[in-house]
Amino acid sequence: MTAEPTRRDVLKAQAAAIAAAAAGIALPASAQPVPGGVSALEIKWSKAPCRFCGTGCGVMVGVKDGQVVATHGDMQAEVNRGLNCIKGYFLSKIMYGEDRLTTPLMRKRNGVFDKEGDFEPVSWDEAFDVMADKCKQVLRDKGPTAIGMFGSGQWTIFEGYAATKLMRAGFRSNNLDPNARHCMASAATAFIRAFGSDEPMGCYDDFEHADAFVLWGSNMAEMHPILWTRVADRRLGNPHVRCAVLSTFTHRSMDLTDIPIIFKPGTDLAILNYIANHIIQTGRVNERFINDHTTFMRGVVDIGYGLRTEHELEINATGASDPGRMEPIDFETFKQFVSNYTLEMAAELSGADPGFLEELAELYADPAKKVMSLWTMGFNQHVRGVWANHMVYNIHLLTGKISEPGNSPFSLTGQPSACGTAREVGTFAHRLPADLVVTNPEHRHHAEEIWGLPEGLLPDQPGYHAVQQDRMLRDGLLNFYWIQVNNNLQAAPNNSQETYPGYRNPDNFIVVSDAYPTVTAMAADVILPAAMWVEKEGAYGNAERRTHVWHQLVQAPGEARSDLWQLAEFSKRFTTDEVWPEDMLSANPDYRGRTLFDILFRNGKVDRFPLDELDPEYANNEATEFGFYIQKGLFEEYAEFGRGHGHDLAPYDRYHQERGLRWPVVDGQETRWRYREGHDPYVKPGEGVKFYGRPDGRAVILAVPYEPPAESPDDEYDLWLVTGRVLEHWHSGSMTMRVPELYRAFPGAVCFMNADDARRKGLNQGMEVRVVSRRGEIRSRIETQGRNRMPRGVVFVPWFDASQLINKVTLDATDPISKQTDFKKCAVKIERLA
Amino acid sequence: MRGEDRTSRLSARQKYALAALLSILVTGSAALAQMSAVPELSGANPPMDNVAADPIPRWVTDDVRKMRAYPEQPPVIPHSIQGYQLSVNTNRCLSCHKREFTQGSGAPMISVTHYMNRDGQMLADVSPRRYFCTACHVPQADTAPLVDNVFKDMIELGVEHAGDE
Amino acid sequence: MPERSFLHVSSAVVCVRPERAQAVIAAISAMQATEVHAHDAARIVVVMEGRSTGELGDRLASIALTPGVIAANMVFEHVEELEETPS
Repeated sequence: MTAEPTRRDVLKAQAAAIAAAAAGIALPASAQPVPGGVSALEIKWSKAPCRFCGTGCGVMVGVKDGQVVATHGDMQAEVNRGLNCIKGYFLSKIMYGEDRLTTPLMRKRNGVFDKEGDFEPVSWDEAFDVMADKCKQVLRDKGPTAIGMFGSGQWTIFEGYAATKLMRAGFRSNNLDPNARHCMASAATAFIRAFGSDEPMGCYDDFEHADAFVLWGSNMAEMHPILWTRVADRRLGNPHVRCAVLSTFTHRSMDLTDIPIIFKPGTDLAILNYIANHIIQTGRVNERFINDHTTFMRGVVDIGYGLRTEHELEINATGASDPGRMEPIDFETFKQFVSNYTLEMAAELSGADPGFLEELAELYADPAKKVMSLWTMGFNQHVRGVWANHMVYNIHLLTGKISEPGNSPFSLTGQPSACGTAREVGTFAHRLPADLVVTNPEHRHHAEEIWGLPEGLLPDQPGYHAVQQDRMLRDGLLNFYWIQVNNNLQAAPNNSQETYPGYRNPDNFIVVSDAYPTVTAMAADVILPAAMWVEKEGAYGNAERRTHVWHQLVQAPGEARSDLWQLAEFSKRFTTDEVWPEDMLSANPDYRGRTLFDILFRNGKVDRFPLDELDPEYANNEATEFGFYIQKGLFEEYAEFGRGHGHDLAPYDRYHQERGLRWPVVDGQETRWRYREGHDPYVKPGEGVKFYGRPDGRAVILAVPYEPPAESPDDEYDLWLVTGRVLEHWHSGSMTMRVPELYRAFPGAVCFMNADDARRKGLNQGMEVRVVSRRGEIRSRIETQGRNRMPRGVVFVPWFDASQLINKVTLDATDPISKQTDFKKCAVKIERLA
Repeated sequence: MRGEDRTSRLSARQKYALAALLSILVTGSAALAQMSAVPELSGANPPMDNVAADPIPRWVTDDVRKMRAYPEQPPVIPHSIQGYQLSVNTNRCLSCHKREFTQGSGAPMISVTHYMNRDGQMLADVSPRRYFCTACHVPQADTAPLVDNVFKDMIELGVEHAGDE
Repeated sequence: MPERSFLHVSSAVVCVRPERAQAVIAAISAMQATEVHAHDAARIVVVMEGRSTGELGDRLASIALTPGVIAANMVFEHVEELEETPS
């Protein structure tokens, strides 16, 4: 018998069940869809955070017969209260793309590794053997600075923490960076500079308290749809609430706006300084607040564009040698500094309507209005991204509209654990856990104590950041490189010139761990198949400081293994004698001859929780394999860094019961508003507000100017190119493009263009074109209708489509302070395909 | 996987059939098993090459309701929404799908969950948090999937159906 | 390529006069590719299979014209492409 009649019977039984339910008729036993009875219909439901953006929605995941069969928004999750966006609703399918990687692959010729060979399946042992050989050879020949790793804000907290230990303590290299560098380094840097502590003071509860929302370059309707439901709920349910949206083109978030502002790329800096000037000129400065809680500084100017040092823009930049320097000034100097930014000047420079600009400034200036400012890539992917972040803090600080319900400058995040893993764990090239940095000897010493390492082991120089890693790979100075859980060949700027050549450089050995064959994986030398999302126990941290843990719910296909297993297992192949300097070992002979696994994971801390602490309801492959509850051990060791220092985490087991908790968690209570007495346990009675991250307890108001972008349109390259995302695709499309419903909702990238611009160039809707810059080109299709409406002179191309790698066109300019790439501004021309 | 030769590619199901046939013919051939385990590239090959951009596909507009993959899935939209206005004052979707308009329009009524506020209380009208329909409901282009998905319907799992043997 | 062929499965609720219920059930059961899955005094759950929406619509119309039937409403329809089986 073929399978077809069975399928047909199922469909018929299902059809009958639905009709019977509609009519309220009980089906007779003989016609029940399932002979096994009700128990055979049961689905096991468990909680998890969504795999996609930094919102951190709670989802319920339904498992039957070892497969995820359904997902829906978690009614008990405070973030989303039962809602999901289209991506969240289709989480059920993200693990089941037909081309999942299920076995390690290595380029081989004649049975041995060959960089120019073709991919062949190999065992984990063979893959790790070759990797370890290459790694040891590079360490011997070039030292730790030639070893690097690129991770992401999609790593679980344990994975990021294991990676930072392996790289810094194991291989003694700080060349560890997350793709969050491309995403929110500017936000993170500005938080530290302004408040002395990373991450927002407020939280999502601000949505229900604000009287006005200001979106700075953010398109929340598409990029943070569930938070947008909270904005819509507030705006549409309360007539006094206002919404301002600033962008370089018209998009879906404009549908809800009262104050729409379209500005020329980069001129948001002038608008921000104008608002500060407006607040001062109209006498609405909260003087008590600035006197008690702030300090004024001036930043160095003309700081360059983070290009290669030999680029003429860098040679000519007078402030490029120390772009982050700040010096104290007083309020009068600040007032004088921003007084140049008049309404006329801001309107002229930005091209925005002066009436709307003044309305916007009034939202902030009016002491009766609680304002929530929201931003993501518009500010962060900006050659002056750190400044832009500072400038929005300036206006919240000048008015005292901060750290209280509804008054909230709020930096949104793009990845599910950009905060939890990239920032809090400290997987950036200069960071250690809990806001510590590698350049501070006390911080390194503290980390060495917690990690049980010999004193002085940790390297003191910041490693290569994301863009620098690509340059160093190309230049042959970074030779062993491991990429986990990201698709950097698609994501990195100017990738045809600066990224791909480094991967294929014969001096380099490139390893990529992923669940799917991305362009990055296929450009590697070894591909390791990764377990993803609920195929492993995990923890993510969202944009409002919420740490959320989930259980392993299903098994990964084939031989796919989690990044945590890969990192820990790989560490068994190295002994201290092979990777640490001889003088370190002779001074600390106890460490001799031990494996890195022993040093990093079987260190008496990470291995202290036995297997009987596992929840018997759930599998945990990593714990079972290593013989101890490794996730709990890593989490509890990591939590030592923050407890008592304003980053307190709850005991690990509690997170399995909660829909996440917002740190600092002190005496079992989460913190919703930091720096505010009565909300934040670190602010003592009587202090009111205290920015305790900084030694003086004061937040920084920074005087910095408008400076132009690195590249602007000219006669030949006459258009601005802005890149970004669409609602249906996330994380380079590596998962969403494999869900048929999401794929069909937005099947390929297009070039959004102004209809008049198109007509002038003789282009029609749907026509194929070349999008060309000085760096490279792609072929795309013209879209003059659709969801984004472009002003004259600006085109928008999303980057999710591997067949249209728009980052061949973008410029590898970064913010010189945060080293974050500017993906929002470069000059292109559009040519009709001959 | 998207490339110029998309039309000439075997569909996933055809590949399965072919693989099954081949494995019968050459059972035990390790070489074949290895070849089939190496995935194809997503995008151009070599990856930095330019490929032609596929034409923008047409939307499915047959108005035939599509079965959901699981009960919680938001239904996809079987018609075009090109040019639909969705703003503070106008919501073209609701002008057919709201309860009081469905009798005249014949459109399916939005589900009862859409009348619940954040605290789970039922409202007299659609909850503002559900106002922007396109966050969850999307039209579908008339095109084959880029990569097939082997997600299994819950109704096919873990149950024995009469007639199986 | 051979012509594509589809399997349509749909279900309907048929409302009948109680005194005619048994006769209507008998009439429906006699139709090809049409099954009665459940009923109460005045309602019948019917499942139909066919090759097109039109075919199923026609059959539902003929059910509606059966003496004793008050209303016949389609509740659910599923369509899938039939595959050539390799065997």
